[in-house]
Amino acid sequence: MTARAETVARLRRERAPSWFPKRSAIALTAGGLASMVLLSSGSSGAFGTQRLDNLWRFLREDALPAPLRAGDSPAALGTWIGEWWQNGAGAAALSTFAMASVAMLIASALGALLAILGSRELAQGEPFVSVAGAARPGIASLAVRAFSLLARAVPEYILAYLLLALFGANAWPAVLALGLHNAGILGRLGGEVIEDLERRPLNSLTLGGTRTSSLIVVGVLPAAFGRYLLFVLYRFETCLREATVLGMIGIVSLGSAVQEARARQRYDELVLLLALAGLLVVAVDLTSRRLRRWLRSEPT
Amino acid sequence: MVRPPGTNRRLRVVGFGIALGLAAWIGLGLALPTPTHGGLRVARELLGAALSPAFDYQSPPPGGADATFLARLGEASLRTLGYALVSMLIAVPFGLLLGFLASESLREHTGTGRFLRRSALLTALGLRSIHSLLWAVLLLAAVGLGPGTAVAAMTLPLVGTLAKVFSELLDESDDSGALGLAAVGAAPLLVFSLGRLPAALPDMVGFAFYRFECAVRTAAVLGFFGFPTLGYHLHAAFEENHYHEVWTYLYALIAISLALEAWSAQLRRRFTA
Repeated sequence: MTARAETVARLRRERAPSWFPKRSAIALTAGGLASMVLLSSGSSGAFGTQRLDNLWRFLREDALPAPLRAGDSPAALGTWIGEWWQNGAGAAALSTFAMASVAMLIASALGALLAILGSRELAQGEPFVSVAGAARPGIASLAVRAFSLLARAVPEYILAYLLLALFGANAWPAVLALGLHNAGILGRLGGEVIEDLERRPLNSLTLGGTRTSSLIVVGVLPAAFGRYLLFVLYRFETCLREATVLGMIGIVSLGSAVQEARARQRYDELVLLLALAGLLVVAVDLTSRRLRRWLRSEPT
Repeated sequence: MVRPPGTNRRLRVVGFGIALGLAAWIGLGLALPTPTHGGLRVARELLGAALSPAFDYQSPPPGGADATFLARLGEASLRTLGYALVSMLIAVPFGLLLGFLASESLREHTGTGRFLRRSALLTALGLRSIHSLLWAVLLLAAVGLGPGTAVAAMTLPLVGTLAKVFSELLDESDDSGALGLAAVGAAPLLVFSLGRLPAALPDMVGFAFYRFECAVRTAAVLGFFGFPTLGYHLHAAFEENHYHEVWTYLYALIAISLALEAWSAQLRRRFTA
């Protein structure tokens, strides 16, 4: 064997064995296939011909806008869309966007607080001094991390549903549910940003005698700011999608309009509302991308 | 205080964001969250039951139960996991394919057309922009209740999300391996798949697992729409004021979430070794 082939063979042998990911993949695939078999053998066939007929009929008849179905001119279609917009679809879209904005305002502030309070590094007597990753968690930071975890683990929809009983039918259940859930996520992401910060400038501050509170303001916040902001923007896109859906519990938004259209069996309006929801998300998505690129390319 | 580069734009974005949030707050007519009287009572009962989740039916279900409470809990949990797994199983291959087509890196190395890339990207964005629950509403109206409806509702946006993030991860991946392969004259497709893809693979796997966790949560929420998952029973228990049962279902969901997060942490540790 040539020297190079030998080196490659040796490197291969020395590589840590990766049985855990492989076995995880096998377990997940097997579980998925088993579920597929079990689910489709139930009482209702998943993709039977009856359902495909239903789908076809839906697309051809129910989902077509009313003017087109009645054979009216395209101008009538325009008027119909205009009326639909004024009858509440526009307001619903606006209120959806507003709810997402308030929720993200709360989430980013609370998330930053959770990240700082829950950070293992900052809980140390001398933050950032020991080797990266060697920080032991304090009790307070553990409690904060547990809270973040809980806020993340409960789906927003369920959280909003429970809060609906507490606060009644206004925008707060949705806003608080989105705010708390995203605060949990941002708390965790922010925590990772803090753990990954460049340690040298920070530990020289600590060793020089800076108190932790000052360290946070002068050292951590400026350094972590950029990445945290990118995470906030990323979460805003998801938050908007969720805000659309949360309306289905009863607060005026695109979701409640969807629910209404479904109840009145106006499937053509339903399809249009979904298209509007999609459009809103795509718009925010593209804006957020451009904004992120703008932030990353700031001239130094 | 010396500001790190990039602060000016960031501060402007933050200022704008705060202004937007406050304007929205006032515009929605919100003041501060105030619980209603009935709401406070419900909250107190609900929180009071937090430490004692039910292990049996709180009151005999109408028409008699065909399974014990714990058996029903287990079945609902398995169904929730099953829906999520099947959706991932279907969505990952399609997401990979769409992600490859939508990525710049494939175009760089194999010269596929720009129109193909743009249409793949738009398809991914379009699929992704409609939430699973909205797809569920649409499909319920079109096709009716059934496991296929739930899986389709989750799979469609999942393909879009996976494709978008996979394509971004591929574009940001290290291209030194690919350039080396191209330099020795490997075929374009090999350059991409052996040079570019492995570099992005750990992040792709990590993201796919994260979406799996999210899919489990979505599957649970689909229960609110009639599908037989954890959300269905949670909803029913809440409507009947069986708050202990509600907590059982909540704890089951939280336990599954925690287990998946722990699994994901382990995977990440092994993969990035």
